[in-house]
Amino acid sequence: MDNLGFGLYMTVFGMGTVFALLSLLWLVLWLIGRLDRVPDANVATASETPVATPPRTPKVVVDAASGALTNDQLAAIAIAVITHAEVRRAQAAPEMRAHQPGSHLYASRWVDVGRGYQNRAWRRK
Amino acid sequence: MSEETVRQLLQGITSLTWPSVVMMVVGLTLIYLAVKKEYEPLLLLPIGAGCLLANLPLSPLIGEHGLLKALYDMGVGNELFPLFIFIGIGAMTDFGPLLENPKMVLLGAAGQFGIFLTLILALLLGFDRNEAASIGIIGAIDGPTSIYVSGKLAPHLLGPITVAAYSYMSLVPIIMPPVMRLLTTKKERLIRMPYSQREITQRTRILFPLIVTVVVGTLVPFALPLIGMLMLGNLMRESKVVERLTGASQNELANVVTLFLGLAIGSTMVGADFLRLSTLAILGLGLIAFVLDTAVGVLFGKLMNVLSGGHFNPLIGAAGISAFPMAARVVQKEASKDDFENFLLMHAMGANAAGQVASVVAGGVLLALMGAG
Repeated sequence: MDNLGFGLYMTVFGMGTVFALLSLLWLVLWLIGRLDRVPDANVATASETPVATPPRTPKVVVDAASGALTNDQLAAIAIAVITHAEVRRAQAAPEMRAHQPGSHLYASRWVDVGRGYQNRAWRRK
Repeated sequence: MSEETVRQLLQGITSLTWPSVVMMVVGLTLIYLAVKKEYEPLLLLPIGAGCLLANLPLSPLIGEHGLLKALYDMGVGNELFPLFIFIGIGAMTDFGPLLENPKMVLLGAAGQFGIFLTLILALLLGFDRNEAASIGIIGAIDGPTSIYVSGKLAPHLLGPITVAAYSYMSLVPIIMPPVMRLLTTKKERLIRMPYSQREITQRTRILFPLIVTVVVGTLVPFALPLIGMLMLGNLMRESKVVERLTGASQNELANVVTLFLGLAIGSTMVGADFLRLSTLAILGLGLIAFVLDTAVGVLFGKLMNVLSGGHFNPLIGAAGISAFPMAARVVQKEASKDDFENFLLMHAMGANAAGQVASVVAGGVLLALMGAG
């Protein structure tokens, strides 16, 4: 009976304290939330003057004149660099192709598995 | 070969006792559960290994200068390891869902009822007060808190209490759903709760651990080691200025200490001390604690449902326990069984994060009421 009384005392005071503490924490968190709010973006922009909508695709400007290169030459160089990276990727061994300019990792794994399968001397029936 | 030499060669076999054999089987079972069933493998595997190593005949590992004994003295006897683990947990936990919806803190409080109800049951079963409080803390559903509190109040029960806490934690997806379904109607489970994410400023995220530490540490000084370390980890995470320390806390520190803690706890499971009727009682009471926590959480959720005019899904109450984030996942899973498009996860995560803080607070309150320091 003595133990039951102790248990009930612990439950009432224990849970009471836990609830009181966490309620205080709730209050503090609520206050922080009120005081430290992110300004509403819609409200902020609404008061400003309307700004012209930017173009959907930004215009890329290449200053070809300064380097004495035409736009066509620049495009050709870009394509050559991309092709070169592709060739290097294709030539590299699977384990070398995990990183740039290598291939996608999953592709390497597939190639690896395929080679291993081809070179296996036995087949499961 | 002399008789003495033969005796020395065979002393391992001759020293085998049935309690140590049983405990070796228990250790192997824990390893099996970790490896095959993946039940909390990070803890159960080292605990199982520690148990096995400690129960092998004449194990030097638990001798005076043995490794397992040294680990126990170094980190469990003085509660160092659980506190280190808390730094890691703090560094891993995102309290954002709780900061978005602070009232969820109350659900975290409700999820601690099991501690005190189990304490009463343990007292009625004949455990003394310190032992009963240590068994009750299994209801915090928080491994490090259980270890910390029971290490202070009843170190001799550390083994069974830790095993119960971690084993049942891994069984949360099995223990919770029947209780949740039993206590809620289908109509209640179908309640949808709109979620609108509120952006939390970094300043708030940094203030949160600082304020919690100061408030809880001042009001419940016994909880300061636990809450202080949890919030230190979280402060490092949210400050974003100590990425290396945060990473180390999340990975290296947490992993190394988990290994050491598991081995040290496992080493306490020595047959002669562990194989008692009280161990079975502790395992049974631990299960009851989990069920009670879930039940009271759901009932508190029902109360919030009434107070909100029927807009609160009571299932969320079950996430107020500390098993993070498993409890929140279970709530979402149960809700989607009745309505596949009912998304309660973020609300449940808020309650679950609150449970993390609440379990630490409850542990500190329990220590304060027991007068342990």
